[in-house]
Amino acid sequence: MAKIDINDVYLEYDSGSGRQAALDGVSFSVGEGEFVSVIGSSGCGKSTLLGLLAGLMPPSGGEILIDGDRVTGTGKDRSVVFQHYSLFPWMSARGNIVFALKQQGRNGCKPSALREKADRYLGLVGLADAARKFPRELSGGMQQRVAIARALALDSPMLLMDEPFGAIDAKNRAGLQELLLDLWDCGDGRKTVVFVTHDIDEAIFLSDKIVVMSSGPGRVKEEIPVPFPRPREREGIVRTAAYAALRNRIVLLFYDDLAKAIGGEEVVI
Amino acid sequence: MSIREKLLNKTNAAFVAFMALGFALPSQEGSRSLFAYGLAAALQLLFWARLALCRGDGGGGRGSDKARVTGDVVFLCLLLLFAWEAATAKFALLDHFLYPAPGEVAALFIEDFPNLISGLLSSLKILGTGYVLAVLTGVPLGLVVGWNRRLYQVAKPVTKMLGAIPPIVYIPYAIAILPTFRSASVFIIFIGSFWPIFINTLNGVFDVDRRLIDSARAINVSPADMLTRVILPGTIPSIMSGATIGLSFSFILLTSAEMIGATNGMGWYVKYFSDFANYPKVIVGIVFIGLVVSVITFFFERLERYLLRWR
Repeated sequence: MAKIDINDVYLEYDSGSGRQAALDGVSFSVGEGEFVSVIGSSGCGKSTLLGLLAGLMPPSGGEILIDGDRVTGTGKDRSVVFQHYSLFPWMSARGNIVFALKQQGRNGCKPSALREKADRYLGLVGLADAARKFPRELSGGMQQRVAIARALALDSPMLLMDEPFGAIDAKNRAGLQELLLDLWDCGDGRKTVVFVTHDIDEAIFLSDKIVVMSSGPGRVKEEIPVPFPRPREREGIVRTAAYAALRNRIVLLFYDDLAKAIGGEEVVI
Repeated sequence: MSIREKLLNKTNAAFVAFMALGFALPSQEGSRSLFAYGLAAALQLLFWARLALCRGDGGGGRGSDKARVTGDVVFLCLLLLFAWEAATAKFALLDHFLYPAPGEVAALFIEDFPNLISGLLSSLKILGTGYVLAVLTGVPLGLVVGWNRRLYQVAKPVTKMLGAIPPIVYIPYAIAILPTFRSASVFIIFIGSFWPIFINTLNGVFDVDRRLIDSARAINVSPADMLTRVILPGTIPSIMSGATIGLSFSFILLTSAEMIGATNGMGWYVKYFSDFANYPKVIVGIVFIGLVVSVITFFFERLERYLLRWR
């Protein structure tokens, strides 16, 4: 049995001028310990899908199963990293992590133990010195590191990430991707990750499987396995023919979508 | 600031000129000019204290910037004081009955200080009770109503209607229905500051970023923590602007109410002595209220900066 099963999920929303479908007939599954990226152009509903997985809202039709049980709300088995506003601006980096740990029902733990744990994870992402800083005092990349530290400190078996590096510059982004893989790969047993992105190279470098979505309404276009062995070296894989072929295939899937949009009646140039 | 800049500047020049002319020209009888000079000297001391604090750091620093601003402000005050002293005590250009000399006002301020303080305490008791009650009810109520969609939709039109009534119109009726003047004033201040605090809290909750709330839900925040650790801090900017409006309403309402029906307090002081045409004391009262409001506002802004230090 797969860890996550998405079965024929349908979602509609009020667009002001009637009901509109955001997702239609979305089905795929994610295995235990698997790293799956969901990729697609903006507006294809990939973030919405992640919201459904997180349990922030229910689907209008179909179902999402985790370990065979239907998702009905947010849960302690999943932690989420968003592109923006994962952290509460009025809490320090440490405070954000301790607050999340407390919500996990670890109120019984001594505050000092929670603080220690928070600091350990901040150390893991290289931010031991930033414990007392407010998010405003940290760069975008550092904020995302704190958000990742928080998600990892919660130690839930599933990690849902919604374009976590979308607003980070290319150099820092590469560093964060490597950090994420390192943390995912260390420790006992890999977590199951669903990672939403619009960056093809990011998806290839990180994932075991890439789910390509098309827009209007969002559908799964293709599921593509990524064959590169782990641990991965960026320089090692990007020069291979297999990488180029994989990348081209995804780019074409993107273009296909784009061509359809331009070929239709809504041509706006 | 160099030594030269510290010694030769317009503020020092104005002070020396003021003192020289003050002692050179005779004053009208009863204008107690010595107190005016004392006031000028006090202002000048303030400026010198600022100068002493910024040791010769070559200019450009924050300290010397502050000293320059203080110098400008003191200069302006000295100028006004000079004009006032000249028009009254020195040349008697204005009617002495309506326009007392600055020395008289300063002397009365000192002599009547115990009365002023007792008035202040009486006023603050009323203001504090009404205002604290408004904060303690307006903020929690605003949070709960703002967080509940249905309550919010009901509350919105009601607050638009009731909050729009200028609270000053409640004064006569409140004095009529409530047993004591004190309770009536507390009630009016409560009403006057409750609405801005409540309405701002309400809208603040509505304006908290959806993404922050989603983030909170994603880590399974308990309902109590959602209100106190997520919604409340997210609403603090709005609450503080409501609280600031409420506070300035309170001062207006308090002094107005005291002018109508009190037997003590800052507003009463001004009204009482103007009934006796004791205008020097009226000016003392006005200046004193100005000082009190500035001090309270100063500490209020400090509190706001502390509460919003994460911004």
